Amino acid sequence: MNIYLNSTLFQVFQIATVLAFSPLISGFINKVEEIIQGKRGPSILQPYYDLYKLFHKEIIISKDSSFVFRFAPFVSFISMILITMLIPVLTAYPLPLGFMGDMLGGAFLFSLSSFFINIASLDKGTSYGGLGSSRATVLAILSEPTLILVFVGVALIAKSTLPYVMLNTIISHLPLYFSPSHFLIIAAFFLLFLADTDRRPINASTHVEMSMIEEARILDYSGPYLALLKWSGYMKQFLLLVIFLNVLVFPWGLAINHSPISLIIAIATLIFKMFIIGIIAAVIDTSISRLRFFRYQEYFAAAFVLSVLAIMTFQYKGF
Amino acid sequence: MKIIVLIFLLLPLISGIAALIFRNKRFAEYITFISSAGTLVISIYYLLFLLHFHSITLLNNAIIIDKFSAYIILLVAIVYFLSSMYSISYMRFAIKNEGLTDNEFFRYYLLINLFALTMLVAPILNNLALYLIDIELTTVTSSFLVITEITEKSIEAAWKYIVIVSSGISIAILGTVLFYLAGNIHGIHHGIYGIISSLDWTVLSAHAVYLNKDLVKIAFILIVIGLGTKVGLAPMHTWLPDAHSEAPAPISTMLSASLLNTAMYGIMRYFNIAGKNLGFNYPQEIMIIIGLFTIFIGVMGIINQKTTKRLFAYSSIEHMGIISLGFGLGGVFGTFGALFQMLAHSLSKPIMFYGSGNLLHKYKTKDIKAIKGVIYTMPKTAFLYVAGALTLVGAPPSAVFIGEFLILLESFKKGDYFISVILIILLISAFIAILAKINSMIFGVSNDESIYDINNLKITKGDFGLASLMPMAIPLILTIFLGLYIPSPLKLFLNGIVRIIIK
Amino acid sequence: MLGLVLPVYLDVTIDLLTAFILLLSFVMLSSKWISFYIHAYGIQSFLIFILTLILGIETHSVDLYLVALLTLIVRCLIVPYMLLNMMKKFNIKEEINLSIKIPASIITGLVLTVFGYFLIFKLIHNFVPDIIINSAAIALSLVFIGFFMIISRYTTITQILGLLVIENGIFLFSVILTPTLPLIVELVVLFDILVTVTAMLILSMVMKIKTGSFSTSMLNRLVG
Repeated sequence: MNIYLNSTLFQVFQIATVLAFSPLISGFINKVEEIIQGKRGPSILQPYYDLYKLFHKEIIISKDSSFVFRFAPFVSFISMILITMLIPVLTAYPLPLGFMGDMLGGAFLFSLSSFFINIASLDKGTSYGGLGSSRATVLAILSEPTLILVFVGVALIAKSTLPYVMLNTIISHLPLYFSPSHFLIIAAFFLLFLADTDRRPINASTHVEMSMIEEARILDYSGPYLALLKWSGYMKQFLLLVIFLNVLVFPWGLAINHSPISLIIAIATLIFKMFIIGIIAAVIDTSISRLRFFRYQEYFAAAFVLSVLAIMTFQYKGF
Repeated sequence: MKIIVLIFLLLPLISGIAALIFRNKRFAEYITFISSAGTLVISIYYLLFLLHFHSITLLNNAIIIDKFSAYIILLVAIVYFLSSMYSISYMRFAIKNEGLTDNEFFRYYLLINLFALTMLVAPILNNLALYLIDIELTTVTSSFLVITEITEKSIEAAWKYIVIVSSGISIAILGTVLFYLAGNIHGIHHGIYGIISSLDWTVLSAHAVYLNKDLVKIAFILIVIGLGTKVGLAPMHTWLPDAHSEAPAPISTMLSASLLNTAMYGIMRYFNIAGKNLGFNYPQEIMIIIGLFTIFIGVMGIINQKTTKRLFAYSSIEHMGIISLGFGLGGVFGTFGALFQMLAHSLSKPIMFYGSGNLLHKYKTKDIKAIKGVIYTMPKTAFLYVAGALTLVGAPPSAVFIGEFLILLESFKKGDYFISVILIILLISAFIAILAKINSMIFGVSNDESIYDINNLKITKGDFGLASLMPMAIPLILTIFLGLYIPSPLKLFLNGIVRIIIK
Repeated sequence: MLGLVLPVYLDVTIDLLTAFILLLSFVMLSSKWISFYIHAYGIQSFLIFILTLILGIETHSVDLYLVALLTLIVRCLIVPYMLLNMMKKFNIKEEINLSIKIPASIITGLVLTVFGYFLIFKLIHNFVPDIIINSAAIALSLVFIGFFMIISRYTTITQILGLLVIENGIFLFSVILTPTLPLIVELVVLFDILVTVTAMLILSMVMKIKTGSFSTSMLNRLVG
């Protein structure tokens, strides 16, 4: 059966995968956490119900808010879709528009989304919005150096900042896969992932004013706008996991040609990998306690150390 | 010869263990004294033997005693002898005044012998790494001697001493590993490849040209930093005043007068290897810079001091600076002067530390301001103390004068007038500062009238016994004698060492 | 290891081991509890033992086997045991007294590591293969970090550990660069560690009895 799909179609599938499965992973991690804590927890599909419910609610917008407020959810959502095109979600080779940007471009889009949410939360002038966005900015400032250094590390290994090149380099040079630099980059990126997706020890998504960050930023949104923001939040987590898994940790199992079978295999392996990493994330999330806000720097210092050591310990050995 | 070396090493060991086992105070004192006397006799025998022979080699080159080693052994043995004599007097007073327990007393006699043993072993080892480990062992034994009287201050001194010096020694070990590595990398000399897989200084020194030059440069700096910590070269000297001031006086003397020389010996072995490899300019420059800085720090410390033993600890630092400056200036005069200065240091420091020990037991304080009118209370000690201070600061005729004069002469000869001027200024400052302080102690008049009161309970008039005065008198006579006349065998011997070091 | 060509998988293993050794020293820098610190040291020594063993197997050197075994016994078992035993005996639960806050000390450790790499590149990159540069640089960094630990921590036990980290660094350095170093030297260095640590432990016990604390921050009577 040699049916080959059009590569543009593949790209569409890629986006569809992200859109469709991102709430599932989120629900799965929540479920696992609840089970570990000895509770039954909501259904895995709960995020879908949430989104469905929110899309059918009406929109309430403060009359003091400007166009930025209405703009932000769309910017955030579209950024996520654009990032999807840049990274290897299903294929080990670049799809159309895959060369629009490299990993730095992806990071830029993540920051863009975050930036718009920040200014939107400042826009309407409530105290919680300012609080949330300032805290989020501090976190971003702390995590930015590490992120950049992770990219530098990847660039050192792959001699390129394109995620596809990185993935193929470590597949074809196994010693590079097992080099300390690679493992240290993985560790540093995982710490960043935990911080960026509101997990402990940072855990920004509580509803307590003392510690809330993410919730404070989108507190004033309602209805479909909130749904879009939540959805882009799920997608952000999903995409970070994709980069983490497909580019760094386990770059095997991706589609190597345009056939539908490899498409299905790719989706299945991806979801499987995500479930495994989801369980790990859930275990970490339930087993450590939240840091005080003023001790976040220790956490990020650790991530920073890992990324610098990754660069230091790398040298080209002519494999 | 084997038997003599064996006896030489066994004497301190046996006497130390015997002192601990028999637990008899008189016995412990005398066996230590006898063993130290025996060691001194043997070390003089080495000296005479080596006048005619190149070196004593034993155990498949593991032990080598050449002229330089024998010289250092002599310095250690002299101080060991004097200290074991002085301990008799000092420890009795320590029991009476400071309530030293029997356990502490016997531990002291065990450790003083072991300390002497480790110092006597150091110069005869051929392997540089073993030498360093032995130096580390001297640190361990002497740090426990520092806490002979357990006080918060002495614990602090011992802790600083062991931490700083141990980390210094680890740097020196790193340097030694680099020396080894330098030999293991193919070196070319006159088109001949050579690999030296050895850490014996005889081998390294004979084949120094094959060592990798870049590595030797770094390695020598590491050695100077590492062993310099032990020698008390600034800025690694910080442990020295503490340990010297808190240890009992006989131990302060051994630390200052023999341990520092033993460590300096190690630096000079590496100096020789590095010099043969790189040309002597490079190690000499390092020694000059660090030497001048050390003298400066030492003199500044002397000027600031308020307690007796710290004063002489800083004076030790100054002397070590002068010695390394002498080696750094090189040439026959400089090296000869530095070697002579080592001997002079070993002879004049005991006088001062033992004198300070006597003052401590009389006045129960180390504070210079609190000690007044020693000339009235202890005339004999006062006389020896003043005379000792004069020899210490280099007033002629004294061995220190000769040593410093020769080093100055070398700097003039080389045309390094800058160094000469700095050295002269610093020496004069030290001269003035030490003598002013000694003057106020010995001849000063206290406001407290009770000192002159015959019925004063606190301070009774009169010197302590012979055991407290002889250890001061013997080196004083020797150092003045050496200031007037250097016997030609000694001159010959020192010239031999000069050839060993800079050739 | 000079002139020794290793198979690729061993290269990679050694690389990983040394990287973890370095990472463990950062774990020590960032730990707040003494027992954690001691365990990290024990694991670090264990990794060094494995590394020595691998080199021993590759060079067929009985000497290195012996050194590895003694490393296991002394560095990995006896020394941590002595330290933990001491903590148990005096029932220490003190936090480490830090003169420098944890993030700052981690960053300082990083700077020292970079400096170590820089120095090694300057020093020996002309005549050794890449993999040795990495290991040697890590060894040198351990030495620097050990010194920093001694300076920045005010507890006797942590100062001892700092010294031990320095020793580990030097040992790693000598094993990596000069595995042919005479056996007697390695043995005596191990003996020396044992003696020094014992002496320091006794000293700190005396200190604890006399001053009631292991903290060295109050040792400031002797100045000038």
